[in-house]
Amino acid sequence: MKRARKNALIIAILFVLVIASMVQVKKQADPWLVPLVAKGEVEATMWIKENTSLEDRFAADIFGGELIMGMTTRIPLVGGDWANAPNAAQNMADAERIYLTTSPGKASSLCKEHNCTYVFVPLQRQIHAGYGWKNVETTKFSDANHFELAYENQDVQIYRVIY
Amino acid sequence: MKIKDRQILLFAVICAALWFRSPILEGYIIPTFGNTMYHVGIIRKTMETMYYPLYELSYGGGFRHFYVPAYRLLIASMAITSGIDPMPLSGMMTLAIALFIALMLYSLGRRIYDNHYVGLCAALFFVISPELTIFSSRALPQSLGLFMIPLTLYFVLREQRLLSVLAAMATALTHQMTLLVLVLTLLIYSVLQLRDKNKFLSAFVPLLAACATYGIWQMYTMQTLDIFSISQVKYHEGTVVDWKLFARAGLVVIPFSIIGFIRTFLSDHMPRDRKLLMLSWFAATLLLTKNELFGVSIFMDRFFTFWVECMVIFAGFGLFYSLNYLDGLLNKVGTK
Repeated sequence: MKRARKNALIIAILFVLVIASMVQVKKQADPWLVPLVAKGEVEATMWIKENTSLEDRFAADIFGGELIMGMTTRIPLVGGDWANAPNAAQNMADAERIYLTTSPGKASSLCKEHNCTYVFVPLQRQIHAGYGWKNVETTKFSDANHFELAYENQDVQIYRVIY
Repeated sequence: MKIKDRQILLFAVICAALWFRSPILEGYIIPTFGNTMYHVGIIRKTMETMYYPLYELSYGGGFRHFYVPAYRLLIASMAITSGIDPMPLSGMMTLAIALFIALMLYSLGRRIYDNHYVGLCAALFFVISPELTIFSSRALPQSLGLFMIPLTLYFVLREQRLLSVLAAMATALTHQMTLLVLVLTLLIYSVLQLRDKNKFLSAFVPLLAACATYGIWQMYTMQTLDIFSISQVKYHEGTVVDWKLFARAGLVVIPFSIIGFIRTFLSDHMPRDRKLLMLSWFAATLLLTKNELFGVSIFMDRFFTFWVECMVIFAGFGLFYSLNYLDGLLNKVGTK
């Protein structure tokens, strides 16, 4: 076989292998490379940085908590490394309860139990506190006896816990 | 200076690696799966206080750190030097680290098989492996670990003792799972080289250095050497690597890695120490990946990434061997 033809055949084989692989890479890697949090949640961290103190604690889910941690160094109830955390599983269960319960009193007392001063409530996505993706029950946060709306945009609301 | 074909090909592979990862910088935030923003938090805290924090921001905070600091200090120092916010900088550094992983796999493949094209093929397989793409496209210490393993093994192979010790110490402070991969690889290699004092020491000294470095760090942060009480061990965090997950190594990577593996150990020309190093790396990562078979069940899926990294070196040789074989066949067709 002539050298040029042989080289063309080898290059064609390599090309097919690479293209097939790239399709697999795209299909399998893309779901791991998404932001998960909404743009408004990122914008809200600017407000947190400017209007809260380093001592404030946030009730948030894992991804909201890590966003708050990453952008502001404020401490969330869940998120980050659980290796050495004394009550990680309890924190996860309580964070989920804060979001899922319909009772404003129950949500408020759980926040107080963990010294949380704010609740970070995503509006455009489900929350994940360690036990799967769940829908947020948002109406309880409008109870003025327990929570006060401190910040909101199209993607998130941040409530101050009334002590 | 004449630019050679292989340099152009290596440049093309690196461009492909960067192009695949460019979406990291296109969004309003870096990809957040796998605690990426947690690391940004510790980096930011370090920058704000100019101290590496001893206490966690995670899970309500107030308890001592478990994590090792090298990756975070690298990003923090780059952010301070450049003045760029650590969040986008983490994304940029992910691209830079991916580039260095590709170059390192090229260098190690070339060194082990004494052939530039094997190195090139290994770098190419790094780009087209979904598993390695996933773990080198997110701002995580593991991506730096994926660079540190082949770097340390390269120095071990060259018997550059000081450099291998320094690389092993840096690995110990980069990522705990990477450290386990390195320690087990060097341990198996040391045992296999017991009869050759120099080669034994070239692996055993960095192994000791890595263990001592990690031990000192953990005593400093956690004030104990006990790692069995951490949540990952207690709750057996990790996923079993089944066939579906195994396919994530790359449907093209797998067959060529099998060819490369068989041809490597059938070859009479390849020096014994190189074969033994590859065997040690392969065995260590396989044992760690299948640790559920020994009742451990921790991070099997995360160790799998390091197994795939070893597989791409074999795959590089497998592809080179296959193309050579095909070339021979086509030549025969031409002469008939």
